[in-house]
Amino acid sequence: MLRATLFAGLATLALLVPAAAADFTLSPAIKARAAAKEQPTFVVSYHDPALSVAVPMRNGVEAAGKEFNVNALFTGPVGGGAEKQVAELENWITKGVDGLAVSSSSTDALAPVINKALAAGIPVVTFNTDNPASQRLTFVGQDLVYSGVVMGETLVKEMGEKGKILIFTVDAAAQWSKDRENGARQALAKHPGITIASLVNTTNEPQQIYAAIENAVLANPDITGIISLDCCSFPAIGQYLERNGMAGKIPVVGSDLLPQTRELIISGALTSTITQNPQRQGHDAVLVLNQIYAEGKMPPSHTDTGVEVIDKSNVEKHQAE
Amino acid sequence: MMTNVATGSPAQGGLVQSARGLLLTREAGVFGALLALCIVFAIASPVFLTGQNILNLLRQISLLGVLAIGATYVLIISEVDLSVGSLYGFAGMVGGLLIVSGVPEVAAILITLTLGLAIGAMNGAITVAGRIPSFITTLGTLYLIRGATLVMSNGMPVSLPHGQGAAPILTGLAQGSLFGNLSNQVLVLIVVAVLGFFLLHKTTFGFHIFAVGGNDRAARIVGVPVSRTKIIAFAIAGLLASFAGIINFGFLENVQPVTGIGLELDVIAAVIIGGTRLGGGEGSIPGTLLGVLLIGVVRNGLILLGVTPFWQTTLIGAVVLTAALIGGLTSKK
Repeated sequence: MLRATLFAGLATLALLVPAAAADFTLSPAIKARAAAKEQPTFVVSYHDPALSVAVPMRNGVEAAGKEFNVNALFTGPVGGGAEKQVAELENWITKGVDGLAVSSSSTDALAPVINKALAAGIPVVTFNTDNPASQRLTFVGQDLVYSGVVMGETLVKEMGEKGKILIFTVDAAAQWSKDRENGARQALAKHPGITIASLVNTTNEPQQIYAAIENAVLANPDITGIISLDCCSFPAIGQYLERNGMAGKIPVVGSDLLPQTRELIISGALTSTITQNPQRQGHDAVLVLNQIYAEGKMPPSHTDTGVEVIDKSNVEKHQAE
Repeated sequence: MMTNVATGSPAQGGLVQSARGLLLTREAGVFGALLALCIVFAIASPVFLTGQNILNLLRQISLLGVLAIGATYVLIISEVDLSVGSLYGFAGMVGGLLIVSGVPEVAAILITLTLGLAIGAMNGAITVAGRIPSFITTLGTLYLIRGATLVMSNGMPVSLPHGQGAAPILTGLAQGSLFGNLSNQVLVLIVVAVLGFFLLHKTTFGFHIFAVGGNDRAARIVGVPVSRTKIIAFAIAGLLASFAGIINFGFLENVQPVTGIGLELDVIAAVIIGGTRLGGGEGSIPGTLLGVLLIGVVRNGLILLGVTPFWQTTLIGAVVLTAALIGGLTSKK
């Protein structure tokens, strides 16, 4: 009885802690399909496909699907939620797909299911938001800490080395937000004349985002700069500044190039945005999975999709994402 | 000369009883909690009582208030509408897509409001005809409408063209101010609240609402049209959710597919804090407005104080719970 319990415990542990990425091998079923040159199915799971930034990602996934003649599905829990994403991934593992690309809504919550897939011989890469707690084969995306550093440095360039700033995010607890925040704080810490008045968590609801901006700016009338860590509080900041006669007076640096963001950079209400090329992230996630499936080629631990600063001088050359 | 209130004249005794009755109402308890909170915030933040912040705060609660007034009718008839947040986002998306695609603004607004009214009435009709708990009916429509919003928008936000004066009626209503710096959204809330109060507290339909919520079997026996009353209550909630949704689009000049997610919880919380009984038969429009104001004050005050985001969430929960407890303990029933 004791022996059986121990065996069951070890078997569970083996599922949760797979071999290192270098030792990963495809399951016999996937190997057989690859050898027979069957069309593979790759599932790309984003942590909230209802977010605007998910649209170019989905376009990238679909474009890669056509380019490599693979069945690439873009999915994820609408509205977010780690438990829903875990459940979806478990279903895909049970169904038996040929590869998974995961953007984790929570590092800790998603790591076991990623490891479970790897232990079952399904290749898993992360994209957009990494999951360092897991044994994922590679991360396809922007170095989020570095993008935060670039945000901080860009703001200092616009604002100077003294001042008081506000940082906004739609989800202060999310890993991507914490990474960018850490990066921005690292860059700002090099300038002792700059203080961070507050980190403001706006939530995802557009009215609450606007209200939070209104309240925070009113409480800190002496701010000299603003950082938005995400796609969606960024345009609302520009809108607020424009309506209150503050456009162009306070530099604002944010993320992504939504249609409204692009217009507000052109009008001068927003200063610069750090784009992460979401279309390439979706595309390259499928590309890497296909290389593993078709060529048995293991990727490097990070496939960087880069950081680009867009401001009034070059925004006309870029399409909204 | 001192007067002993307990042994005063009958007229004085009546006044004292009325005053005591007023103090024991649930609304008075919530008002007390709100007042205490305002005093704390006013002491802690020099910005809290400034005119600008009060104007901001009133605008920030306006659309939640419009939604909550509709929900008050539904909760008094002992039902619940979980679809109002989705309908709010859906209405903004429908109105936004129609306007952006060139449909005349007034027509777009009317189509959106008609859709909201129809979806609300559908919620009521399915609940009544199918004898399904409204929790289940509206949970279904919550997902249906959210899905429709995502499909329509293909996951992308819809925005008015920037700086081109598009949709002047809607943007004027949502962004303008007829009286000084007071946002028109606050005027919208006042008009909706006055109409809502009159309909609920001064008409036969309002009497029917309370009768159905108190005991629908007894109401049916005395000739109250129970099914019709329930359908109309849901239709009012749907109409007001779509109205708030399209004003939100006019204000932000933009609607996201995720707009309104989780908003139904704020709406229900505001109505319950304001003294409406989940079991039905009790509630008032002034109480609901107090509940809305309390939620708005907590959010506003915590940001003014620069409280860290994670503590904000905890404190909002604690304050809402405390206010509900105070309201419950001071209630006559």
